[in-house]
Amino acid sequence: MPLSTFNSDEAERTVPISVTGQPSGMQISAKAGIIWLLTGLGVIFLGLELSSPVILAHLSNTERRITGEMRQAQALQPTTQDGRPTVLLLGNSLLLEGVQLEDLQNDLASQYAVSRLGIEQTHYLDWYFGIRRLLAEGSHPNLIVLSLATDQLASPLSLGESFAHRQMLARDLPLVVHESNLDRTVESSYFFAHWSDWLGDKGFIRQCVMILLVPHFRQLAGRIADHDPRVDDPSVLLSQARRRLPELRELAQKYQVHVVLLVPPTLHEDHSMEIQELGNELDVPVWVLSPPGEFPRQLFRDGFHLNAQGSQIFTARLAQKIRDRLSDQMVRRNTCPTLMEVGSCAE
Amino acid sequence: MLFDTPVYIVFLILVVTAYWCLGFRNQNRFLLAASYLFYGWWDWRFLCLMIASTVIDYFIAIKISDTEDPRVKRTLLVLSLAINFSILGFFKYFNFFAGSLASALGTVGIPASLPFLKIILPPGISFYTFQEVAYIVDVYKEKLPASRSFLDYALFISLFPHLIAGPIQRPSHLLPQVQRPRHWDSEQAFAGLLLILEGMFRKVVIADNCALLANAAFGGAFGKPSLPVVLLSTYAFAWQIYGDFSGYSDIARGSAQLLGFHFMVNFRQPYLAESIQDFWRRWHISLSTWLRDYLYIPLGGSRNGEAKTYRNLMLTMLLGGLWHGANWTFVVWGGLHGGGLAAERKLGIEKTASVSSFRKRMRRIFIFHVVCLGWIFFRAQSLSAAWAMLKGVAVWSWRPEFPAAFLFLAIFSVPLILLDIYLESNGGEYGFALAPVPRRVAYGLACAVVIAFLGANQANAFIYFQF
Repeated sequence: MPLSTFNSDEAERTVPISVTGQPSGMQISAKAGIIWLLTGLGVIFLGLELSSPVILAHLSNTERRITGEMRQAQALQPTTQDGRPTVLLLGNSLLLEGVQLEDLQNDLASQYAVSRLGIEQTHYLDWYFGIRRLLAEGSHPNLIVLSLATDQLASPLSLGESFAHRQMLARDLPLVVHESNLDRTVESSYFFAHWSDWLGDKGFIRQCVMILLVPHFRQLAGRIADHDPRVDDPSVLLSQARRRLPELRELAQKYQVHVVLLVPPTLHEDHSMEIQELGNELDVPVWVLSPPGEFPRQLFRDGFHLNAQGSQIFTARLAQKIRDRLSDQMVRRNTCPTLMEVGSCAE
Repeated sequence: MLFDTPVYIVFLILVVTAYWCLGFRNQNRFLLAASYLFYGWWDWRFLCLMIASTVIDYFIAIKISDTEDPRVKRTLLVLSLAINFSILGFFKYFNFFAGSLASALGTVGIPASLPFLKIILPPGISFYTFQEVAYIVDVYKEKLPASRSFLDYALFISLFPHLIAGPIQRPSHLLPQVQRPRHWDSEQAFAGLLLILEGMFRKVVIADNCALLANAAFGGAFGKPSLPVVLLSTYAFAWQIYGDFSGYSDIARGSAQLLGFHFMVNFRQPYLAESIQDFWRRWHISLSTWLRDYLYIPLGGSRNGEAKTYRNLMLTMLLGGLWHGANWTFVVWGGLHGGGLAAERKLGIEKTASVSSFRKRMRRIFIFHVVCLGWIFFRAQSLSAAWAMLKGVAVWSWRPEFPAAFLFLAIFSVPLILLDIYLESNGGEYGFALAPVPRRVAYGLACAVVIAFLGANQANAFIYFQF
């Protein structure tokens, strides 16, 4: 019979026999095998749990950078010991490649202490919850500059388990589930990842191993990474911005810090000007330092990220904008403070 | 709950621990509750549907068993089949048939606007429906007495390891196991743990990594289809779907063994098949035997002459294709396999032990590529996308990422090829199954280490969950 299989005989067997057909004399050793196997798995898991931050720090420069920047961000207070207000830049690769940190720090050294926390492939939700965690755990910079492209502001994505581990507060999990529309399976994975170093780091560890195994893996990774659909429908973009900008404002008010949204330069229309207007309406500063299309293609490395020349121009504009903000603040201090200025007025 | 997530591991540990502390009847009650929790984890509404379907078949089976009148028996059988296939058809095929009918009417000049519904497919509906149908048919044919205990019957349908994507269990195999006490068997439990570890390896290391390549290549990330893109996408998908489904089946079987149940083997090195017929003896065995026993044979099998045998073969495979999903691509996939089976029968090609080792290898390579041809249709979003992919075979283009991509594919497919060759040679159900205990422990731990370092980052749903 064409569809017959030799396994059908096995299917009809009603009495489960020893799976490998081994004699019952193996019972004792199988029991020992179970104990050894479970003990071994426990040791492996514990070993991974304890060593994964070390492994990752050893394998990855990026991880070392993020860990250092995270530590610095967590310790920030409104002013440094010498009285300079602190600025924390948050964002993804658009920030990392678009702003030359050292130049910016040097440029503003006399007035501001600038720090950065950049994590690649992050979107709005990573940072909204990331800021909540930073602030809840005692970080208190004077100014937070969140750098996101407009489609990233509207995106429903987050960095997954790594986000749950590094940027999410345990008590925020129900809110994350609601905001990201997660099912229970992902919710439970986030729960475990929040508490486990290994679950939070395993994606990065795998990436490092693949870089060691496959020459030019980074080039390939760019192709095979999940490229989720960009949010480019202006109505979705603006309605999401209308919902999310007030979330940032409320966060700023709750912790008495200043939060501004910085939109990096783009080649194409990204509706940043409409979002800036929306920011004005909602009392959330949105900085668009170059209108869409102003920066020519020659200033971009790949159509999205700025090259060295582009980032030099953008960094200078950002420095100027931060400086302008300081003088604005000085003027406002002498007048009636807005809600967002209360914190700094109290200093 | 996905098998490859931490929550499932915690769930399994808790269930197995509590289960073996209970007496037989309480074990069944507890397992039923655990299975419903497992299923309802996605959406409790789907659980209601499954329970309703279980209740209906439970009573119909008892009625069939109790009645003497063959006409009443037959009516009840038809009623049950109609209910089961209506539920399946509504959730799975409503939009497909409505769309196909509308476009068919449109082509003959009758514009029709048929309603399209936003229907979410309940997980595992195809699997538990087939299991219920098998039960009703077996009771009707008096191969099996109807279960008088709702608890036992409901547990047979919903036992969590097989609930979402099989293996589709035969009532005569599983129901008696549910109905009588089970005893702890260390050898079976040890093998179960190793099956789970190997299944995890197949799923999160092989399948999920190959999925990255297959998704990118089918999604156009490597440009328009050309020979390298077609090879990359097809091979990657071939290893993805095999790793995914065989991994799922291994975890299901391993989990069942920890609870004292035995499930049928679902895969036996399918890419080492020497004919299409041989492939179906090795691939998704629980479905192929189901189709044989509940569709091909009732249609007449090979009993009514050659022409009807070919018709039955084609019908079985076309419906088997459609079972996978509401898309013409699955019908074409089924048709390709049906055509292949019919051609082999016509030409008298059968697996023979006498062919030389070289010819055997050549046959295997040939059949693997025929199967890959089918996978193009299986994976493509539409017939036109599949056709575009096929046309790419005649186009040559090269990209700098291809060497890395093919190396990546080799890293995640060669281990499974080697494992299959090894299993084929010694007949084991998993790596080192016949080796002494220490070597099996070492194998299990090696799988765990590889999973830890090379497992794909995020849990991906098993492909067969959507069927």
